[in-house]
Amino acid sequence: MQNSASHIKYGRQSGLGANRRKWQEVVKHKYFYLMILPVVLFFLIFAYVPMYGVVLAFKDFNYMLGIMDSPWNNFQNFRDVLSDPNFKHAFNNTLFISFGRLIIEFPIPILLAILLNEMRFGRLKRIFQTVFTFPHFISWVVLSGIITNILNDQGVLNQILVLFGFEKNSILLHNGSFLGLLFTSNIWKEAGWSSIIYLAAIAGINPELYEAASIDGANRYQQMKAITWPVLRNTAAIMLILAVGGIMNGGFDQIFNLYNPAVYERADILDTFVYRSAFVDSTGFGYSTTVGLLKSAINCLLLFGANFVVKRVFKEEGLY
Amino acid sequence: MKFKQRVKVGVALLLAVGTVLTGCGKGEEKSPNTSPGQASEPIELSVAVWDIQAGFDAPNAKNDTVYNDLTKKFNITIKPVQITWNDWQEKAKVWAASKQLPDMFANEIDMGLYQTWAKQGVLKPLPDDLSPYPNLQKFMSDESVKPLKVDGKFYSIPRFGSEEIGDARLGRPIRYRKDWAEQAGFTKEPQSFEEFLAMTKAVMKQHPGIAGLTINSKGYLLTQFLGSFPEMVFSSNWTQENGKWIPAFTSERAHTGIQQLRTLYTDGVLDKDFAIQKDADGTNKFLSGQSFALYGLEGVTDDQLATFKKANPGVSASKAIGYMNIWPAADGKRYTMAGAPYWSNTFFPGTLSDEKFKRALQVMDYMLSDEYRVLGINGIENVDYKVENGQYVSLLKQDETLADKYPVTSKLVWLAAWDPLLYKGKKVVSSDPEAAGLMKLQIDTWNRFKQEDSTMPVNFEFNAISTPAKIKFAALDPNIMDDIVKVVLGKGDPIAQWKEIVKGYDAKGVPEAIKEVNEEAAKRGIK
Repeated sequence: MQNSASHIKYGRQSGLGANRRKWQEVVKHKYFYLMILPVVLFFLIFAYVPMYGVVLAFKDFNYMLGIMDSPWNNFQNFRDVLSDPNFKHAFNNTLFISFGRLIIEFPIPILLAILLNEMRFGRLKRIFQTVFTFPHFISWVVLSGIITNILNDQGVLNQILVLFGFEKNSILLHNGSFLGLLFTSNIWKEAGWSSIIYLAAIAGINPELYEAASIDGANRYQQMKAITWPVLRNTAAIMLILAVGGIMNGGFDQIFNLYNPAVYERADILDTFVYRSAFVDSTGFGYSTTVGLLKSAINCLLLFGANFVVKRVFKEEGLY
Repeated sequence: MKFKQRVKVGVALLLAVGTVLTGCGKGEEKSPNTSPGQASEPIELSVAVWDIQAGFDAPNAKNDTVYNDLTKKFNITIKPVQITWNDWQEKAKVWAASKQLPDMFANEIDMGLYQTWAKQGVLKPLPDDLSPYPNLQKFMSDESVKPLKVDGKFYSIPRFGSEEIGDARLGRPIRYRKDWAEQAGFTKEPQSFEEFLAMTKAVMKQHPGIAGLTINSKGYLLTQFLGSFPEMVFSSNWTQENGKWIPAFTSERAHTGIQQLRTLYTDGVLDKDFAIQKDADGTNKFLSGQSFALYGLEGVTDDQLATFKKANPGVSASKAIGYMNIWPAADGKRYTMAGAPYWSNTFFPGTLSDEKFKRALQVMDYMLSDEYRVLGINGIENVDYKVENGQYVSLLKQDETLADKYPVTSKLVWLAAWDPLLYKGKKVVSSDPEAAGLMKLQIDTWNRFKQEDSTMPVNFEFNAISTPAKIKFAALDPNIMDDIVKVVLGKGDPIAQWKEIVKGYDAKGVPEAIKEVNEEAAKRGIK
């Protein structure tokens, strides 16, 4: 009895002590905490607070009653969405395009980072890095205008084709070529930017490792294989988890600005479908929220799944 | 030093947090003194009409006499709420959901959403007694506004562009380079689709690199149906076949137009970029001498004329650009577009106070009067124009435009109505002989088509039928248009593809809509 009482007393003291120590740590690093406060507020206000809107997926949205007071509709939105052939179509397209991005686009920044790392001339390396990174800062609205102008019937590409006696090509109007364009243009735009994180990981490698390997007679390829890649693997695993977690996104900005009715069959993804159902077809906000919620739920499951696979199967560090 | 550092960090953080919170905060609403019963109190009305902000931002905005007189007359101030042609429909839906609708806003929503908004109280109903607003009363008693009644009340004011159903006869015009056609040996309008095709191909041969036919925007593609099945000029239209009402796109009579559109595309006549173009790209190509014919361009604005002059130096626009009368349909008649003399509406939010609403209706009533229509479009009599022998003659100096002189009015004038003056002969004739020539051609053609052509079938009594499945069908309109584009761009038999697409609409509620609509039509005795 006495023991247990002293144990409780000790435990409480220990708990209080831990809390005090934590608080002391916070006070010690108060400027760091203050600096992160706006970011936390940003996410709270713009990401977490609006989340209450997902209840719309379960409601028959009434414009006057608003989100919270609209009546519940007994999962009618889910029945509508799941029985809509256009949703199924958009769902399949999203999966197809996203897996395509994972297979085709995901490895490119890794390769680019490794190639840039292998460049001997520092200045040239920086020039290449700037050239590859720059397209990231052009918005898809602008870029799609440029791409359309290059690829349209009177565009530069067709003029060159005609000049050399070939037939004109309508890349934007055919499903196959349009998908190819989606992947290549996104690689062109984003590969440089995405490679920064891998370059940062490479920058953290102790140069002595390369020197030691070089003395041991390892060539560049062997150095890359034995030193660079093991370091990159963990970063790549984290990026892979994040990419899989965003697999249902598909790339709204790019597709919305480039697609047209001729390629809806393969290019209409869930995000463009949500946009059209909310703003063009007037299907209603409840309907589009339901599609959005389903999309987020699948993304969430995939994120956890990918994290599990990376940790258990590939024995890499996961996100958590 | 440490204290200074703390102060700096503290101030920086306060600013950052303040910025975030300010961004999220609801803008402070200036609440004008609008206590009921004090009609003479100044009132602020927020107004959304296309590009209105540009009018208020113009350097001469404060000196806009017409606008200043309007605000004085009704003791109002107007708070502009910007919409553009790229975001106007999306904005209205977002505003409605967030209860931020402007006090008066021009827009267009499909019938389903209109009824939903009316029933949910998003929109304010017009008073039953419109006698205090005589102009409004006149327009609201027109037969064409019947479909806008929800449970016996109107929830919008249509933005009339004319007065009769046939006044829209130039709404789907075919423009062409008459001079090029004559050079190619075609001095008469084509009598059939085949003649049109031959004419266009002959011109294209003489002008390599041009497109044969461009379209103003995707909807204008359906102009093609005027020559075979005019009801299909709008993809959401209905038609009567063997005593039964059906959506026009499901009729076999649509096949001719579908086949013709495919032919135009595969024969290289229809602009290859029509599906990926932005609105007005096709018109710009036509004006820039890059296409022979154009579906669109009812009238030519000063800016468009300048584009033409720049691209076609030494060419008289009024002589070179013609209106092509559509070839006769199978029944031997040439059809022109017809329908309700409005395509959009001005709405008022359900939350608008009665006092503000009353003032807004007074303003609308005035804006619909002949006095304001003439003032808003022509400027002030004997200052900007004079009437000479029944003709409205411009008094503007060279390089002076009404839009520069009255920048706010030049945008606001479109809130209540479109331009009904032109065909009444009340529009100022430009001092530029080319612009004057083009306007004369437009009026002459309108009168010619009135004599020579028939208007497409329109039945307002039928249009007024509203059933749940019909409303759902109306929302499919954009999908039907996209499907037409898909067939035009497709390969293989277009009719087989079209039939397959039409069949697909069975799962989207079309049979239910047909059933409901016919039952209701029978009940109302509509034939």
